[in-house]
Amino acid sequence: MEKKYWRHWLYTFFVVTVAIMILFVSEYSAIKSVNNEVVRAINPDAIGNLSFEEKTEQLLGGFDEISYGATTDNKSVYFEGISTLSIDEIHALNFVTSYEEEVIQKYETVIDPYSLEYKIKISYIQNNEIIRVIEESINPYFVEEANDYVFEYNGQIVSIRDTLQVENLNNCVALVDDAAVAIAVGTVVVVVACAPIIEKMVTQVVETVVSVVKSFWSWLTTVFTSTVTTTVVTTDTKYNVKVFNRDFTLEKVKDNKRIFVLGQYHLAIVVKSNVFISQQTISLPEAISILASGTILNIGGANTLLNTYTLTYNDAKKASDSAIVAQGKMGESLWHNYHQYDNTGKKKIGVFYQHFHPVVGKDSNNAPHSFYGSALINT
Amino acid sequence: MSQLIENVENKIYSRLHGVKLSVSQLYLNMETYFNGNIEEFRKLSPSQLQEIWTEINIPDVNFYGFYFIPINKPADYNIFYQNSNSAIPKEFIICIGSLDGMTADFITSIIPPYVSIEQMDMIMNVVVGD
Repeated sequence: MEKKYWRHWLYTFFVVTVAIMILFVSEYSAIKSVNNEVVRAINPDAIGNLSFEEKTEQLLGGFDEISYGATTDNKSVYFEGISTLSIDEIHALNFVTSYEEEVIQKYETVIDPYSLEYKIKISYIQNNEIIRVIEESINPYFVEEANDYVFEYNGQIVSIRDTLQVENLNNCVALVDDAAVAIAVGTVVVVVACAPIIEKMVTQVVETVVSVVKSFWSWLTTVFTSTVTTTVVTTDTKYNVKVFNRDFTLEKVKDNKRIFVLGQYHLAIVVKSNVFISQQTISLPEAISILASGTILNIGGANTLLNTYTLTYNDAKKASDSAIVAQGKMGESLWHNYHQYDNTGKKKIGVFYQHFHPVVGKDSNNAPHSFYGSALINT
Repeated sequence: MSQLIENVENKIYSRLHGVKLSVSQLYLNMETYFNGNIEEFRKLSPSQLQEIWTEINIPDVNFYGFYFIPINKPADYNIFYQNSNSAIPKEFIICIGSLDGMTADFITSIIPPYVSIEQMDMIMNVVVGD
């Protein structure tokens, strides 16, 4: 009798374990199919809180050698990257039969100046022989509702945002067993490598290519920096904030004596009619990402938006306009004068700056500010 | 204590040489007063239009009127509008809202970038002062 019960419980345990495993695998597998579309599992924390430059560096650092720039006909841009795969990486490749010799992985991407397709070729070379080639022309397009660039591959919709949500971007380069990831990487590397220099190239790179690369790059700046974690330590006159994995000290604006350098951007917050501006600077892509993403800081239980400050009207406008593009929108930055009067027209006490909002239309409430110029201080 | 609309209007007309803009007058000549996507602005109610620039909400039912205030423009005022794709006001406009149709319970100002702080303070002091 006892033996019978023991078998019954063992059987039940086995059935339950298998059911849980099936549920787990179906829920958390890297790719799950829904209505013939591929939805990649996302780990929103995985991308960490590195700056845009750090992530770019990490991505390009996955290659041993890179070259990029204008194509020989000067009409477009290209990227080439070579990396030697490690023994572990070689063992992960199902198309490799010999593990004795090193495998070279070569990425080649060029943007067609007429069709604007990304022509991507990824070759795997062993003993001077090409053992596998992935060759694909893709046309990534922006999906506004998802704030995402996607492309079609093998009848599936692949999200570039989700594809890049991996622990380390340099590992991403080596994720060679997944052609879709490799193609996404091939798409992104040409943009991150060429975008910062595309306007400085002494070439005839066609305007549409420049526009495609710049739009994609602006969006990437927000994706690469969309997770901004913060630790706030405060005194009456300073806030210490961790953003982009760096420490910033935001100092209360008490007068206009502080000297700012032309063309540099700073973090700024507004707390109870006071403005605090960071001593440290941020890059333009970081400023764009802050303005585009609307990062919220929690200070003593109250939420406040992270904003940017720069010296001139033109630089503030440039960051705000780029943030609109980065959100995948079209339109005009909204300019605001000092908000120094209340709803009865009377002067308010506090610190005020002229600013832009990266919003289109009327909704500027809860939108970040691209502050600039001199403070107006009403005591 | 809110002022009577009549008193505010008198100050606007006599001391600031302002004029009342009817809604149709403003909406038909929108490009005179604002830089930006005029067609988008025309889709907004008068109250929403003033809220874009002031971030102050006047309920639609309480919106009373727009008043154009003429001011001396600096010689280089046009730099803000040349090659600009931004939404920026071109003229100084006072907006009034009222809860009862008699008192000026809301007074907001749409102020262009070329207006100096002294100019804006002078105008607002006249509007809200005794």
